[in-house]
Amino acid sequence: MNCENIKPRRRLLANMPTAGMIFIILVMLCVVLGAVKPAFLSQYNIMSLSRSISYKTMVAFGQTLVLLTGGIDLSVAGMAGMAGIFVTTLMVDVGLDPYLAMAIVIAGAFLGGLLNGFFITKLKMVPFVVTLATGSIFTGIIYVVTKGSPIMGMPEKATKLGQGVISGIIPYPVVLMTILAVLLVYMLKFTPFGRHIYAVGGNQYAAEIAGIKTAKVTSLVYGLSAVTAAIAGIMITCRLGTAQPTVGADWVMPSVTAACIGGTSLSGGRGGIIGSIVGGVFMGVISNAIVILNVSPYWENVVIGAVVLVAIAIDRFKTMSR
Amino acid sequence: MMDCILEFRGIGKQFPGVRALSDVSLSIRRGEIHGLIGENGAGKSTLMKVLMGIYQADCGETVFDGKTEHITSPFYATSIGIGMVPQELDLNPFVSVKENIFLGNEIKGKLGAIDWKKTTAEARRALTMIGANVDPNIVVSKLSVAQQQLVQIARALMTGAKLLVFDEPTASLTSVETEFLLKLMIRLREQGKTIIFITHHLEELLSTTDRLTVMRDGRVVHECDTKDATLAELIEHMAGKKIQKMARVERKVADDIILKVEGFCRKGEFHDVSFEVRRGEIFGLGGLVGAGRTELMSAVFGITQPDSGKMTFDGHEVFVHNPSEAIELGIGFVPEERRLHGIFPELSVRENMVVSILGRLFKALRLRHAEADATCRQYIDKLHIKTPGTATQIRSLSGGNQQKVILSRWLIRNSKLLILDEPTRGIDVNAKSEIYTLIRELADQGITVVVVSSEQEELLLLTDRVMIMHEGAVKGFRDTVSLKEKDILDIALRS
Repeated sequence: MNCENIKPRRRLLANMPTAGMIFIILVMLCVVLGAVKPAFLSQYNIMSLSRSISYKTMVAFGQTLVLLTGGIDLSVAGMAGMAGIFVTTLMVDVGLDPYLAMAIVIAGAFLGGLLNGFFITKLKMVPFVVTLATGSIFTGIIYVVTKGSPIMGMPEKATKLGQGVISGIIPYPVVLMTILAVLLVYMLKFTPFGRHIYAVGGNQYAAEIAGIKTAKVTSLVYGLSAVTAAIAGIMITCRLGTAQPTVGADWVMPSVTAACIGGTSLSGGRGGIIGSIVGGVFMGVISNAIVILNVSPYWENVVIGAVVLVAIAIDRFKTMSR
Repeated sequence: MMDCILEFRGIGKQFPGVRALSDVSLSIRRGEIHGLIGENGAGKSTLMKVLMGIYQADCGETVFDGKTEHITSPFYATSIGIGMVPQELDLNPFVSVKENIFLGNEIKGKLGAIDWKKTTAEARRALTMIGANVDPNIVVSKLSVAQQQLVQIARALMTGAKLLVFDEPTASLTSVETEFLLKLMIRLREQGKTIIFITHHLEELLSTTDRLTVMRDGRVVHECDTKDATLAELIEHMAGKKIQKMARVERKVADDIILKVEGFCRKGEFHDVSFEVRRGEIFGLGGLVGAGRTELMSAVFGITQPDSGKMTFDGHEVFVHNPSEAIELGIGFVPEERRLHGIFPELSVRENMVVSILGRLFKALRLRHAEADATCRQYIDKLHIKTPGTATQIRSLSGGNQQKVILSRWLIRNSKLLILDEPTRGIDVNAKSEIYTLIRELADQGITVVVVSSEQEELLLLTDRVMIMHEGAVKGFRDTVSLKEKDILDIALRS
């Protein structure tokens, strides 16, 4: 049959995950940038670039889990900001040990995420609306608590965590992001819970019939999304040394975008953490390139938007050619 | 030669793994009511979808109103004068009746804006024409199903349809509403419309239609004038005399009861259903689609909960709140809609199979993928699943092989009772007999199987005993040995 002849050539492209293609483009982009502007590969640039990438990418991790179940979490920005504020309040006003404060806030964030899950699974509300509302509430709480002004006086133990660097090139947040990535990749591949996430996103009804407690899986995923957002919020707050009410306010769309560029499907069941790292780094490099190449920073959003369109179009072509 | 408004000539349509229509030739005369009948899966709906341009035929031609037409979309079908009153009403429930009637066919004023005054008047005229007592300004969601159907008919008429297709229009109507609809169809015929009427209610066909066509296995098997037809003859043509690939066997089953259901009721689905299934038995649930069998089994498996009634499984009285509890008890479920409810299309054969035992594969903090792979291979061999490998995406397999993967899902859990809802729907003949052999082997090993099937032949070949349901009620039990091809339909439809 003549269909047989076409297949092998198509296979090569079709088998390459979107994240893989983006990764190749990313490497090429870095090589070109390094050649044109050696400053790009300087120790300082790599350090500050990787640090700025790590926050949004951590948020993207949780977002990716949510997207894998077929949902979306718009409350990550509010959650990140709120975590930064509360952790500072606990340290500065209550005088708790920074690590204890962080543990408390992360646990609280998990419960906040479960609240999203409760509305979505028990009351069958649409994730978009639920997290839009809770996101607004979280952001509101930030301003109620801070009245719009930053909280100062963070102890040194905390700021060290945010500002520290290993051998002058690897910032602590990057280390944390890597640890999180390893844990989550492991969770997705090697635990029943991880496989259940893919099953719920791939076909919720079938998952229910296969005996998966879909409500539990979904709720936990929103809990985890809140946790990664909170960690990112805490880390950037520690880096700044003051709790800014606006911290993380613009993280929602980048977290979704990073996942999308990395090949995670918005309809669920397809994608992963590695893709989101590639997506997050790609976005960071583009934004950095625009600065280094002296292009007007206003172009950044245009370029990122175009990349998302291209990445998703590639994905569609692959699906259609199957 | 007769004046035919519609002629199908040698229509063929192939789906992956199934031949849905083969060489279908059918003429519909202008101004007649033409009944189209057949069992589920006989090809009626596929043929109508070809007519409406939802599917494209692989071969053959369609002649409508004297012209050979390539109907490429429902929009085109409508524009040449074909109207459909679908089984699943496709009105927009949130807007008014008049807006629904003229949806896509809006009456516009000079500036291109919708002329609501004229729309209201025209909608009222259309509704009066079909004798519908419905206010054109009311929102559709407030109407009864019967009224919505009338709106659908008004819509088809307003697009200028010459040929109307009614796809099981009486399925969800009361007897008074049905009466009204049948009279309306006769009145429409008097106004010069041609009607294709698809239904499972044979009495309705005999009282309303002029001619009848029976389809089976994607072919036209019988055509006649209604006045020459009898109920018994039609049932015989529907059921057919098929080649038996597998001999019927009388199996010995122990008297031990594994599942006992008493007085199960669920509003609008089934009422007062009681039955017992013996260990190792292959128990069939017969009847037509909509008889409440799938709903009943959903309640047994915990997908829904019965309003009242009692269930005993393996000697213990149980109330199953969700599928996980049913699975814990040792029940497995293979759903009717394989693609929608059974498989995870994006995931591999292995993942689809081992999803039921992930907990068991999780040892020392990680999933043992190698063990999963070995288990999967074992079942691929055992059930002769044709797949390039364990990592292949399940959606690239044929229907029969997908079904075997889902069966394996429950076998690797050592389920005691398997509920199979239409286990061979959309599966080709050879794969079918393989699945039959497999099911019988499982039962011989002591696994109890409940088979829901709308195919009479399947129940006769496979089961030891059959419970026949119609419209949510049990119509009778029969030992399969004593049954003949047409008995099941007979018991379901008569009285």
